[in-house]
Amino acid sequence: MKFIKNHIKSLSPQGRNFRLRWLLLLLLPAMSCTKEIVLEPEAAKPQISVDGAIYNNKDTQTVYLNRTQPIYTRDNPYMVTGASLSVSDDSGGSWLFTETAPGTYTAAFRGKSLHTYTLTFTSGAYTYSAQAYLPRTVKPDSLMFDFKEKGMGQDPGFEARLAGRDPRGSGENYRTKVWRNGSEYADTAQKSNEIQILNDYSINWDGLPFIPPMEFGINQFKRFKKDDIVRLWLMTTDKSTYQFLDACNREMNNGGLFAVPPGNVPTNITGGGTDITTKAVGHFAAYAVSEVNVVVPNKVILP
Amino acid sequence: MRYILALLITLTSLFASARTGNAKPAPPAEDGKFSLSGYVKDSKSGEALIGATVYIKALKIGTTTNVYGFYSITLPAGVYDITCSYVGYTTWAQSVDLTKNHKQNIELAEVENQTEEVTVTADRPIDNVKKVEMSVNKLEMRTIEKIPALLGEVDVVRTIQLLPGVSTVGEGSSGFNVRGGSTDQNLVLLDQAPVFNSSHLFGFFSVFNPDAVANLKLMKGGIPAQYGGRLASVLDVRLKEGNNKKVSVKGGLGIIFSRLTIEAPIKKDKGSFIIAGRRSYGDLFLKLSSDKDLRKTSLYFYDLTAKANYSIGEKDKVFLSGYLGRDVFGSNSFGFQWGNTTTTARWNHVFNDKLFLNTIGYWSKYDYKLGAGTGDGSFDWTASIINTSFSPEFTWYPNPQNQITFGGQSIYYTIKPGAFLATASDGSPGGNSVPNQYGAESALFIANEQTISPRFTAQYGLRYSMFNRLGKGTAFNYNTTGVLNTEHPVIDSVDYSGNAVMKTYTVPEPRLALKYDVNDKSSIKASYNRMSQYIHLISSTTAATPLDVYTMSSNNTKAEIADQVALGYFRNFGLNSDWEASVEVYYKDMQNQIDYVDHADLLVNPHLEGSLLYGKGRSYGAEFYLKKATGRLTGWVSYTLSKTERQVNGINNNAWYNAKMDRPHNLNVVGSYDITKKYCLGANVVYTTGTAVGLSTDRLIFDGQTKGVPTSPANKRNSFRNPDTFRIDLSLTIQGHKRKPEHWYTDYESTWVFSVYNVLGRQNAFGVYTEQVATNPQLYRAMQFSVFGSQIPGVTWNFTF
Repeated sequence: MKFIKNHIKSLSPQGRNFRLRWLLLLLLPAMSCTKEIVLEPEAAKPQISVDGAIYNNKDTQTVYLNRTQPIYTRDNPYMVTGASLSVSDDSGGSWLFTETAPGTYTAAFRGKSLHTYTLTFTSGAYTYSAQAYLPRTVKPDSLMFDFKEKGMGQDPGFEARLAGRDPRGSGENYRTKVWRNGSEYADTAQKSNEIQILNDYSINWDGLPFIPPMEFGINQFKRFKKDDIVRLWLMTTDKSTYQFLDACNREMNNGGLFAVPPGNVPTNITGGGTDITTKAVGHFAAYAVSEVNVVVPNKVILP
Repeated sequence: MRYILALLITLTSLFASARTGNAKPAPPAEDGKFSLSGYVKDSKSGEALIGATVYIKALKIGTTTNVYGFYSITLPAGVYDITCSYVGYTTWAQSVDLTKNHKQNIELAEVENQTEEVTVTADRPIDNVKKVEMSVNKLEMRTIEKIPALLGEVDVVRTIQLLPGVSTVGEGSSGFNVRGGSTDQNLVLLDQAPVFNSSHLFGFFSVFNPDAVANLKLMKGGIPAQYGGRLASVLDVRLKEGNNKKVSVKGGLGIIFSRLTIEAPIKKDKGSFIIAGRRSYGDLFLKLSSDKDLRKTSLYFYDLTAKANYSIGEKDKVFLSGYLGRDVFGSNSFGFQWGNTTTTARWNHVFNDKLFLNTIGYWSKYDYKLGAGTGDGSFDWTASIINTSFSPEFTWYPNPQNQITFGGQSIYYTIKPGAFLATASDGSPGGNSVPNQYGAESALFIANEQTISPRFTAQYGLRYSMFNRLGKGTAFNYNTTGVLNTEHPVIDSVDYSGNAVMKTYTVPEPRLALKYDVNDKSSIKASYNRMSQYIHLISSTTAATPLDVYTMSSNNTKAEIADQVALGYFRNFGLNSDWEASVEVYYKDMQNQIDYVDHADLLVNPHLEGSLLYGKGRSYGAEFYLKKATGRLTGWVSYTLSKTERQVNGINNNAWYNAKMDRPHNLNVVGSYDITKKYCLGANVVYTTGTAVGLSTDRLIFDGQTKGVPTSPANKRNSFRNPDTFRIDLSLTIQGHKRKPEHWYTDYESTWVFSVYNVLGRQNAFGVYTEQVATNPQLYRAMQFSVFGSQIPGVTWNFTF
């Protein structure tokens, strides 16, 4: 389903709401409408929420600790201070994190492919832990830009295409992340930051060339302009992170005619006490990253 | 097994007696009794009239025609004044001297217009009160045509949604919900072939072409034994047979689509056919666009409905009907289409005056296709459900007190849950598919409608259904000991070869309906029925989508079973009993209902059942209905007070929760008034409690503190309610051209239909949901989505040559 949805979106610049938009805008003009309303659902009691990731292309690793909040709050995240936090790997490495800002814990080391990282932290009376696997890096072959005429509601511009091949051996979990002129490039027209993810096993394309959303997903259903500075990360991660991001995508984009009942996003954090409020949520991840930097419309061929 | 044996013995003995009857061309009258039988038809078009009443005043007894317009009644020798009546038709009367078995075909003439109150005979039979059936709504097309419709397009399913006990999850959603059932729990029959997706354009229009439909009947309870396979209801849509007197052309031009129907005799009074087609043309306007890509966009639906019938001699009649519908849309790089195809072949045989056989064979398919590109870099995805059925159905009229229906049905299902083919840019193939599912559903049924005393009638029967999940296939076992509402891992699996029985379910389904006449104008009715269902629509979305797949019962997914009891009081008012009123209460218990784990992957998932949860459901309520079927003012008021809940372990902390179709208050006022012969005004008023919805309650921040995501740690399901729905629709039908037979080109009638849907322009909520704030992806806001945010005008021009 994910793949199909992505494929449809990638192929059609109109994107996610292809059917609704086309139906409602073209066939039943200006019939449907959305408006903001005020709702105050009762929030659950706050729980510790973990937001951490180990990267193989960063020299400083960061883990954030905060608390869950009511959904429609305008408050800043409530940070969890004073925790003692460390990460170890499966080859004897161990790093103690220091709190560099409220709720922000950092340590200087670089993640390595094919290693499992274990996060352990203590906050108040409880200790928590989580594991993440940093898989092999996958390098794309090239990033290129094709000029497209005005059409499908889009101004003329450049469409990016990432070419590459999934390495043999099933189990790759991909994510792409793009920055345009320094800021994270998102599908703002859709009012949501959909995370571009794909694995090679749900629909089996093990060992095959890249398909959407990796192939075209970086366009975010928009077009690049000449001289845009584009930074692309092709990331690989573990299955647990993939499932977490997939759930986040579903929860962030759930509405309209085909909404599903809202659910709980999964977590890989264990520990805490017996009471639900002493359990932690959120996710601890590890990413292997291939980075490409380019100025549109130059074509990059990677070695 | 004993059930089957008992049924087989009964059936065999019934067959034997039938054959004996048939062997002797003119069976001698028993005790000086003779049968009166024949067909009742429309005098203008030759259409069979279903449910017309044949009444013998002197004896105060009568009978009604079956779905093929056939009736039979056995009487002592004598001279009788016989009347035959049908709502909207002038009553036929004739004296018959019954000295031998008598065949009497009857033709009724339609009342041309109802601007003046029709004089109806005082002893007009009042079906509402006199018939044993309850929880049934019948609608004629000419009633439906007067109801204000969205964009002026008359629609069968949208009309059904105005009946008591029927709700939807919102405007623009496919299908309908009956007494707390899901949309897939309705057996939607088009000339007896099931239709799996009854919608065009994601639910805005139904697949039934109104010009080709003769009438429809919605059975919500007390469902007779010949129907089965779905839990909630049977919607029996019957196509017109086609005019067997003369060629007739009918059609209409609307904003969204146009219609054309041709009816003609194959041989006058012997056989006829009807062909009806529709096509939407939203995409034709796109061709005018300056945008090159828009010009290449297709966005339309079409359907073709056809039927032919032919009488072979006095005793045999054959029918052939078919439907083909398709929704297509896509661009130059992408295509998406879906639709139903059905064909039905039927053979009516009158063995003798007392035994009628209807043999039905059908083939029905629903499929969809998604594709992009050709050659390298392309993909193609298909899924379908196909079923083939054979079913003989006997009706035996042994004496005026009993009417016995018996027969069997066998259905073979093939479900292709999803085959996915991708070709990479370099031409290498990829993709995968979920293996096909095969299954056979069989049923034997027998039922008797018995007049126990002049006041007391009972209809009792048994349907014995059996489902065999067949190979080739793999039965998986899942570990359900962990957290219930996340995907369950496979423990082990067993492979089965072709046609091997993987799993068998048998469900004896008793059916009972009772009626007691309090007096000539009122009766009390009660019913009980058990229904079973072996194929299940897998859909976690609020409104079903065309991409949803069916799955069959298996070692994990058990047969769905529903038990329903209903009690009703029926009363007619007015001089001619032209006001029909009823109050019904019902309670329904449902087993093995399907729900889904959080973030379930339902499409192209070979381990789909690992994402399913099973639980139970209950629905109860009271339905109030007041209808006026004749006169200048026609219409109805319906009010339903109901509750529908589900309990599924793993959802809502294992507690009962409101089902998405739970709408406690549901009020519909539907009326049309013939102002003059030229003008007819129609109005609907709809008030419904909002649907039950879930809403995320909390957020957490992730991805390096850049984004927020909604989450619901309290794990509550559907604990909110959308705002109530209130809508008024109006329509005005104006007689346009009047028939002038001088020239062929003036020999037609036309009408203009002007309508405004949602006159108040209210933004009725389809749903409330949580949306990310565009400027700050950490933040969320609450949004309300309305399918219609304003008044929707419509105009349609209809003609009949």
